Amino acid sequence: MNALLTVAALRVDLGRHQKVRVLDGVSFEVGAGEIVGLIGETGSGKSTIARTILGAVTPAAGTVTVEGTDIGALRGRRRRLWRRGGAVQYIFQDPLRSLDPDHTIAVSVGEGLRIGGVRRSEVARLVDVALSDVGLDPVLRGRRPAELSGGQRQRAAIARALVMGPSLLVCDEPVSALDASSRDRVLRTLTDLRTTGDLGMLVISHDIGSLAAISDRILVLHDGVIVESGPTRDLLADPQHPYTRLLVASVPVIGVAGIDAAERRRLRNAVADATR
Amino acid sequence: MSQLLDGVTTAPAPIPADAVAAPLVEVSGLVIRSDAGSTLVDGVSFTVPRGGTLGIVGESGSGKTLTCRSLLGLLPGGTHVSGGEIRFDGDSIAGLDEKAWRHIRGTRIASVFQDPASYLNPSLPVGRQLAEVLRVKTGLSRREARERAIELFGQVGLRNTDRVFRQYPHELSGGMLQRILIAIALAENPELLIADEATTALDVTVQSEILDLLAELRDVYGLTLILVSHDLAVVSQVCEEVLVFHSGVIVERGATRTVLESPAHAYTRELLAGHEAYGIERFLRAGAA
Repeated sequence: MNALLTVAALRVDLGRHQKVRVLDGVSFEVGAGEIVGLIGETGSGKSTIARTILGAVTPAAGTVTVEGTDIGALRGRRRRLWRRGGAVQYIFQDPLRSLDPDHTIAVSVGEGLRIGGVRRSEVARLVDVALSDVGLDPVLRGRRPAELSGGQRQRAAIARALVMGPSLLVCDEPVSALDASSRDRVLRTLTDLRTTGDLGMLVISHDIGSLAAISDRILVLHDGVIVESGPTRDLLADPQHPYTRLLVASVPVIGVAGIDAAERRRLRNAVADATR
Repeated sequence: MSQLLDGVTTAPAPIPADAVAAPLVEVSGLVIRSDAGSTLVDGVSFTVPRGGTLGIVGESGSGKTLTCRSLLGLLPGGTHVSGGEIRFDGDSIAGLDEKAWRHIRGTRIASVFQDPASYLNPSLPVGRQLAEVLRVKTGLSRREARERAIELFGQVGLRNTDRVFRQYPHELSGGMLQRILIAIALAENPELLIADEATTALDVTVQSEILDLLAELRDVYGLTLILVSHDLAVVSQVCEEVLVFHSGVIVERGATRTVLESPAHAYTRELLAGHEAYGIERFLRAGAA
């Protein structure tokens, strides 16, 4: 498998006066056409991984390589050009962060193309293709973000990312702010995109259920360290690391023999001891 | 109880305090309306035995939270109880005045909600906030209140209780804050604890800690619990009985196990199907096979 994204031995320290180690030796790959889920709870460092891939955080050590380009080594003009190339696109929890409230959906989705100098008629065509790829009714192209539902806005944000023809999508909590039916549609949109091309995805979430529904592989991040990774099915059915086992044992389940409170208490102590 | 007394001609003996058959909570035909006239809760009836655990499931707007708030005498402005009866330990509480509520709410019926930080004063150490409740409500001295507060912090599973006593809300995690709210709720040895979406905003491993704690409080102290959640799976972790609310009425009720295994109402089946799609059960079953 040819790696689209390679994160190698990433170390990130944050804080102005007292440095706190947020990520410690994080390494993983995302291949073309693959959906990799990254699960982590509050303070695990999962958003810092996204921000480092975005270039918003400078790592203390380690590299982030996208399609052979070490993005940390890029400077000045080359860095700007690489960013504008749009090979990596981001989807945030709150789509309003990427959609201008004063612009129509069509204007927002086409913005990157116009800045890149694409002809007007071509922009309109590509915007329509992207909107249909995410299953948004063409009627909505003239609306503003406030006139859409949360799920429609998130799909518009995905269209805005897709229109740039990325090879990698980084989605940070893409469905956490959505209700059940919108979550359904957005997750299906993401899995449909994978089947239509070589697009690779890194989907970051605290919700193991949403990740399990779409991911080929799952990485488990705890306290800045990837404690376990593997194919979704194996990782959930037979977790090895105490933290992964605690995570799986903590998810409320129906109709299958769950793990009892005494075992969970034992796992909590094991995790607390390991991180002390 | 009434069957036992049927045919008894002598004057009825006083009912013993630990009478098994008398439910702690008895809601019958509860109707809650908005002042504008729309019916928000329409004829809801249920009982909770002393020491029992009842789960209430439903989406936002289903009436589950309004029903609980009527048990606390805390209906939001613009809504009122317009019919039915709410009994707590045999006494009607629906029409009590504010002064009478003070002897019940927080004292005999306690509650915890979704966002623990918003119920704490950000500029006071959390220990002092619990000690204040103990001093005002139970008349303990400053020193006794401090000792009791630290003991309660231990009972809800907090570690380093002396240090936590001096900490401010912003220094503590969401899970720790929810434990502190539970400690404050337990300050006066309530008989009933209502937890409304109390674990919804928490990480899943923290959620399971709080649910395990609630189950422990029931087992160890005999606390009666009403657990409200939009998530059927959360409720099923702790509760023996479950009510499913939809559009202001109870559409399904019964032993949690029975409801989960053979749901009778289409809405319950819909909830279960949604959970199956995004739950991890299918992976766990694959692991067991």
